[in-house]
Amino acid sequence: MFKYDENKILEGLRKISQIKPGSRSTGQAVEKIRRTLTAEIQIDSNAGIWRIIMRSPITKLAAAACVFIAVVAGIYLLTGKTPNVTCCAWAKIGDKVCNIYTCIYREYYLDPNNPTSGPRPGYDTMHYLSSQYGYRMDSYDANGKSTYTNFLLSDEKLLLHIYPAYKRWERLKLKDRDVVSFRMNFKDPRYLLNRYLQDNYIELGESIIDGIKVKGIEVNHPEVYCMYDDVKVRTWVDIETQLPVRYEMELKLFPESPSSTMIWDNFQWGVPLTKELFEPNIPDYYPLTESILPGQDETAAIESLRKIVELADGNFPSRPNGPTIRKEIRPGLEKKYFHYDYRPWTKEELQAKRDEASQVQGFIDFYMKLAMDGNEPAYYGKDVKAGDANAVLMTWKISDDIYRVIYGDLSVENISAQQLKEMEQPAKE
Amino acid sequence: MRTQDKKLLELLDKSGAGLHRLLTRLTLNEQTAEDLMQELFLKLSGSGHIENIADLDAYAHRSAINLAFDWRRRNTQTIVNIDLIPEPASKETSPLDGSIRTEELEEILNAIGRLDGTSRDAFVMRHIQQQPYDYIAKVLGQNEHQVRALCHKGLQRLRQLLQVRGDQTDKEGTG
Repeated sequence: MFKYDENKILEGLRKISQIKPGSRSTGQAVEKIRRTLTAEIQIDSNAGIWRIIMRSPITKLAAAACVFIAVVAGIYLLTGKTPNVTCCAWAKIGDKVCNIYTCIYREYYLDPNNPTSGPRPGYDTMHYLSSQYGYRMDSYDANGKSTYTNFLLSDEKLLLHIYPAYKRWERLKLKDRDVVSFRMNFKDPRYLLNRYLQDNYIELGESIIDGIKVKGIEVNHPEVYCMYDDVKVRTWVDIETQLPVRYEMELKLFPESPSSTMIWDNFQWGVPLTKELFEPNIPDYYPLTESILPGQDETAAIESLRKIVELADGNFPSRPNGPTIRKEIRPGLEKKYFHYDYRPWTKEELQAKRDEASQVQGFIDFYMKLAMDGNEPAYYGKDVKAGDANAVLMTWKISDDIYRVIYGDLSVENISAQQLKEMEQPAKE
Repeated sequence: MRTQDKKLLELLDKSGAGLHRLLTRLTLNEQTAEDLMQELFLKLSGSGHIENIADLDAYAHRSAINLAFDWRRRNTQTIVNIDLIPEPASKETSPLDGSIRTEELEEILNAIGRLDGTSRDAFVMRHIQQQPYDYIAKVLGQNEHQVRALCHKGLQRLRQLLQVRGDQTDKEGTG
């Protein structure tokens, strides 16, 4: 039973006072009330309409948006880890963007050969986010022609890729709303700014961007980008409107690869976005390919690792990120489905190949989720032989002193921090 | 649009996020917070007299506190009681610690719900919303000195409530 003294009570109160709901969750809650107040529906306390709204599972999008509370509250409640204290001015900016329910912005890469000249041709994307309807991105080639459009539909739990140039489309079923939120967060400037503010950021002071007086912060290697070898993120906010105007992300995927700079700018905050924008409208004659993405839990991760070992010649991935894993399984996948008589693949074979390729996502997503939730994952796949029951393959923190460990034979157990310290040494060496 | 709906929209713009945050802290659940926030606006809209409320923002926050603790009272039975969870076999720290910490917060919130009305509101505003004393005094129509006293007594009372609960459980455990 707990023993409460004054300090313990005050510590509990402090934890409660730091809990912050997710931006999309708050956005959804506020937007729902706004729609009812402004609209269409006059509030009548006897009519029960509010009850209907509340009970409807379809409109309960907040369930899909619990990531941030999992991050913030989860860090406090489950790991006891104390996040950084955000200075008031920046905390207010974080709060302000959380209360904006729509956003449009442009994404592009700087030309690595001439970063001052502007966007690298052929990598131009527009992003549309709506707390109510979901997420859409449109990518264009150097001639401004649409190369692909993606939709992330919260209610339907679907990720759609449409390729006009190839006249085909792809539908990925996502396991649950948490997976939808997880995927959306990577492109949500509201979520990301608040994540950066939880990291060890430094203030960059004032500057001018496109004639606008701005102030900025910089974060080195935020946890949300754990899949990269090195990342530096700068966020610039209009001093007058207190809204972000530019995100700069210097990304380095492998130690040996050159860094590239991704820019988000041309922000439009709080603009009305219609439901139609988030309706795919795919021509009937486009053939559909379909896959089911695995979940992002431990079981999915282990199944995914098993599949990777099978496809990667009995080896674990050298790094826990998508590009590395896809590169390492490609030869095995091609070999498995290679036809020595050069006959074309059947529809079933193509589907099976696609499903196997999709399955590896379980480990990638799980690892990223752990990093984003502050569970401090560590991965030693490069040095661990598949099947080695004594080698630590991966660890993550589940409480102050307890770690979860996956071994080389894919068995799992909880161990103490001290045990981990003793066991990690040989694995690292 | 009715005047009162306009006022509610203004309130939503100004304090919607803050109300949702407050309700999330008091319920430790975003989904419940969303439901309670709708209930709050339903009540405000149905009250028919919000034009006469001098400080709608403060009124809404106090109503939100009421709703959250009403919900806590209604749902105390369904909240997992940590005492029902068997002790781990070893004395080492276990993954249960995470649940225990959450349960501690639940217990503290349940105990806050048992404080007297004004004392409870002052306590929540000070310790959970982290409002300054002068603001709380203004909202509650008291002076700062009185608010400090309310918060201090609230903390003492909370300690008693939690101590009694701990002792009772200890007795049950040994009995």
